[in-house]
Amino acid sequence: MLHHFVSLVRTVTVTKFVPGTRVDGDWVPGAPTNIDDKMICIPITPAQLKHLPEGKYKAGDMRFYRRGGPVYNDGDVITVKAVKYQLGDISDRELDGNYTMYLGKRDYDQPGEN
Amino acid sequence: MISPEKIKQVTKTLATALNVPFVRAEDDGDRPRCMFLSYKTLNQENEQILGQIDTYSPIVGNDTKVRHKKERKSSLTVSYTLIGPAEEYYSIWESANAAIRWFESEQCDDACAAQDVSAGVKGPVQDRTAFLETKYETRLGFDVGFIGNEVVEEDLDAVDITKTLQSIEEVS
Repeated sequence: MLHHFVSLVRTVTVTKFVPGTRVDGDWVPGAPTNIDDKMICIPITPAQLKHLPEGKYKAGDMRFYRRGGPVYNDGDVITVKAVKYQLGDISDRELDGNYTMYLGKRDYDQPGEN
Repeated sequence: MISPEKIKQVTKTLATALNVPFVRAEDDGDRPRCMFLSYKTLNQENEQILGQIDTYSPIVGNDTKVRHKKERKSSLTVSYTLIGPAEEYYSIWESANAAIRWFESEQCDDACAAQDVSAGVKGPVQDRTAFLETKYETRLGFDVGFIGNEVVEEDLDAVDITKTLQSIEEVS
């Protein structure tokens, strides 16, 4: 499937987090690691929202398509043109067309965002 | 104000005595899969200002300043909850009762004294069990009141009585 959209592939930065731990009852998040990867980024449309968990996403959040099986997890962050999206849902389509779709919710809690 | 760090240290001693992991409630972290102790500060307030004790003391080596110490009680309520799978219902009850007994023990007194606070259970053990989408999670909790001292110190300009009196001019 992705062969038809090869011109849309762009480089994104994926921030993965190693598992955190608890220290005296307090949660200490894991350290982030940045990875450059190739993905297709397509905004979620209002029509598609009807098929997604209610209230979890809104128009303007992003779908990311990557060749191969799932390699990223819930909570990882994809940065596209300085805008961050936190991964929420992962759809494994490895058997359909050897790709994985990630749904990313825009993170507005960053400098310069309204 | 009682520092949250003090509450954490007392809770750590309690969790060690109960032999369960403990977490601060409502953070973003993963929760233990076994039975664990959760704690959360519900409220904190200082004693009314009328109960405040004010003391002034000289500062050695500095005649131009005095130290003003304001001291009053501060109280804080912490909600403790023992959380675990529904099938561990009886052992969770045992741990909840053990936690109540711990707050009445000398071990608790020592742990609190080390943090300069005192503690006392404020109410009964409550069953706060919740249904989580597919199964029940047993939660048994109770509230504990902590009392500590709120102390604020500041250095004020001293009044030189002798010079002040000398500076007064008689008006005829």
